[in-house]
Amino acid sequence: MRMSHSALALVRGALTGHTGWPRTWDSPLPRDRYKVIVVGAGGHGLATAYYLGRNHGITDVAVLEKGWLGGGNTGRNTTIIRSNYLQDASSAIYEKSRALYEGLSQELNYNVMFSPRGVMMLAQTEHEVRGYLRTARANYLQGVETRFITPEEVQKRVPIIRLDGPRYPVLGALWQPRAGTARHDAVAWGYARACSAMGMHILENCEVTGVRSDAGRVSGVETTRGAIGCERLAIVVAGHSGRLAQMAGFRLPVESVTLQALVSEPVKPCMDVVVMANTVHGYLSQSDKGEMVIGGGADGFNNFTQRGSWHHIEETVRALVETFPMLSRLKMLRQWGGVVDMTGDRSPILSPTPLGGCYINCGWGTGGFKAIPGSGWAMAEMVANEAPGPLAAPFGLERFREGRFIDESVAAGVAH
Amino acid sequence: MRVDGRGLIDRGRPVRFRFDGRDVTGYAGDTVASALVADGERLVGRSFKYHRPRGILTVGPEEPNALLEVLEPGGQVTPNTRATVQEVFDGLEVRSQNRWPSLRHDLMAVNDRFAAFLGAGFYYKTFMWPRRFWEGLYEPLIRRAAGLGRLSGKHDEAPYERAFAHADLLVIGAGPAGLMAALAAGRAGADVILAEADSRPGGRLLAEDEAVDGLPGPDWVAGVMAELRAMPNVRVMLRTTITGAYDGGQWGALERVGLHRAPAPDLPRECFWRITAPRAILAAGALERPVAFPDNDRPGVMLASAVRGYLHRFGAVAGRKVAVFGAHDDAHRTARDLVAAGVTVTAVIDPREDAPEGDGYRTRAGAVVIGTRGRLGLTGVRVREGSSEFWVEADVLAVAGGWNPSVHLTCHMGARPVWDADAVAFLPPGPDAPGAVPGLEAAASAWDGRAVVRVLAADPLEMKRTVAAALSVMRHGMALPRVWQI
Repeated sequence: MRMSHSALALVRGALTGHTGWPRTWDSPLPRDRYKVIVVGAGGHGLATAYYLGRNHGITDVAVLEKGWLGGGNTGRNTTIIRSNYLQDASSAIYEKSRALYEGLSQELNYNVMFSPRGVMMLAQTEHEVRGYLRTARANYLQGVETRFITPEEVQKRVPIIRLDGPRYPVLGALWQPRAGTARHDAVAWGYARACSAMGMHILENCEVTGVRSDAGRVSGVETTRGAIGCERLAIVVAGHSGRLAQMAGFRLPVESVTLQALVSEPVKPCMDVVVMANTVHGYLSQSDKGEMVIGGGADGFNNFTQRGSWHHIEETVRALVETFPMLSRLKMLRQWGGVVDMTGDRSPILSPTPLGGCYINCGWGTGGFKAIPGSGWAMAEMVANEAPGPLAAPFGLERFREGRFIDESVAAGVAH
Repeated sequence: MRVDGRGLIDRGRPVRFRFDGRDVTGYAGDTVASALVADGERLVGRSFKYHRPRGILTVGPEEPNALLEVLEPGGQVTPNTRATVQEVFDGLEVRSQNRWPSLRHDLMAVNDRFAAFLGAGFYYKTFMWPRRFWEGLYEPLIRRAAGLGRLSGKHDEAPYERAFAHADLLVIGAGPAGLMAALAAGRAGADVILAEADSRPGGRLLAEDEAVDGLPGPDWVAGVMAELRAMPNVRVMLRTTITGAYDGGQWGALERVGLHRAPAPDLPRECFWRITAPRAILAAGALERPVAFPDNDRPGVMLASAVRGYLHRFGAVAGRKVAVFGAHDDAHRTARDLVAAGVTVTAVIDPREDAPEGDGYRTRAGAVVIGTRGRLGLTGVRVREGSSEFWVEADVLAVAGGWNPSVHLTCHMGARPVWDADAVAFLPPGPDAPGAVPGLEAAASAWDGRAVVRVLAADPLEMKRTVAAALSVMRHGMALPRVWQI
């Protein structure tokens, strides 16, 4: 039973000591078998399950999570949402995603705090200026609203920025006005609540340890909570995709590395928009709570550590202080890492796999959060129809064999 | 108010600074917090969301309430500075934050009236209708209300520094355990870095009335420090916080180089160190826990360890009538120390039925605190004893909720602390735990929060084992100092 969130419900809660709220999502016992099992209860996995139910009427679904819901990269990212990519295939899925974010709070009846305050990507070298002018034109043709703005407009929108940085002056920026951030945990919780309301099972602390198959087709998974049968399997586990693929008997062209971030103490509003400074390498936004949320780089070596390193603090903070000298007065509260799965062309993989009935969604690399709704939409379509739809089709595994790359190494933002 | 004859401050050197535009006089050796305690100022901040009046809770870097803005002559501002860490100097100017128009009259405190509607997570359930209002109205209002201090709006031109250091052994914390570890390793010939976040070594020995080897704690510390300073292989780094444990025996350390004096153009404000040391001893001690009861956040409610710290280190007490609450012998230690200093203790409220009788104060055995009064400053404590409830007069309530060992660094590579029912605390993970920090040994004092100082005397062999383990790769033999007694 789901209680609708409304002003009336809130008043009722206040008058009854907030004791009447139901659980946001149920915690049922696993059944023996489901039509679809989604591995991974992060944003992408939950969105896949949600759109399976909403768009395709498939609700006999379990979402399996080895840890706690949203505890992987969904809880570790810097919450940026944008769709200013270069290639048509990318823009299509990222813009679909961004557009879905616009109405997500109302659709889920759960405030995910999508905040389209604008994202700017600073051009601090002549090469970046040319690159972003090209992106702006590509976006125009794709119907994605972006434009290249002058240093003066940058300064107006970001009062704390120093344009004449000693090494890398700000020469302009690629500006996407309807991009921004969302409350990352709320995205996972909102989808989970909606999935649970449709009768889907979200099984936390349920780690997949093996994939079962029968005559070349998936028949179920082995988990730390027992074997569970299924007709179709969706693997949506970001950094650990390689391990799941191994269980399913195939290999993936991805590398797993740790991407790091840090966050400051909360201060009163000083920066309203999201700024990415890719040349000095750091990106930041100010959360609604007032913290400066700062993204760093990816580790230069493959690992699964999920933790921060000394040199990333130093490099990222040094880079940002050069462009935002005021930030040196802030103390950093936390530093952390998330394991991201990188492909060679920095574009995701949404694909059928060599194992029948098994589909994989991975390779979002350093920028998966923004793609959650669109990724879930496209993945659900593929699992429901047992074939990729137009959004997913360009992102099949075969592109690595055929050399049909979707090169987004610039638009991906993070240096790898 | 100040207590005559107590404290390690230099009463011959008064220091004048400003708090919210008002002149306050402290002494060399004071922090902003201790000077404000001595000055009788209890209200120093406002809570983040409900803007409830808040006072100083602790005597160290764990302070959650007394966060201030430090103002500099050129208009530069450092927000969220802990008053318990910021040392006073002539001309220092600090200002309360997150209040409007003033600390005493904060209109945002209206949030407290609507607390029932603003419960945890309420924002996920509301602010969705009509859709356009989220970005047009609700979110801008939320953003304006959030945050604590302010940035200045001016580019920071001050110098900062980074540096590197190497040692055989890093000792983290210069309390009694860390001092002994550094001494043992130093005498054995190891290259040692002793890092202490405080401006002064000694840890809890500065904050308690304890004797070591027949000497007052601070004198014993001075003796050990003199020997350490004379060793060319020992480097003492004060005002230096170890911030992180990283791969390859690397440690991040932040040194407050110029924050305790007037800004100077050539002096870096802070220095970020990368310390490389294959072995480290964690001697960061423990933090006292607060106790949960209604309205336990009023200005005047302080940790018992802080009340003793202000008394012994700074010769200051925050009030004239002090009540103490805790099911812990430290509650009674606090009362004894206050009585000895001539401060009135109105009651020690101890939930234990067999609580010790007070000497010079009244013990309320089997009683608990169930509420407080005094919005801008504590005036009384509501006590339930058996079936009766009554008010106890107090302008300070010291709470002793037991101790949490500072285990954080031992968890920086993924290991989890281990709950120990006997110690009633989370203890550091063992060296073989998955994700344990290689080479890091937790010293005895960080193990047992129940009596941070005494445990050393209880088990000096534990310290010997710890240092020996930490130095096991070294070529030198171990020559430990003689067993000491407290």
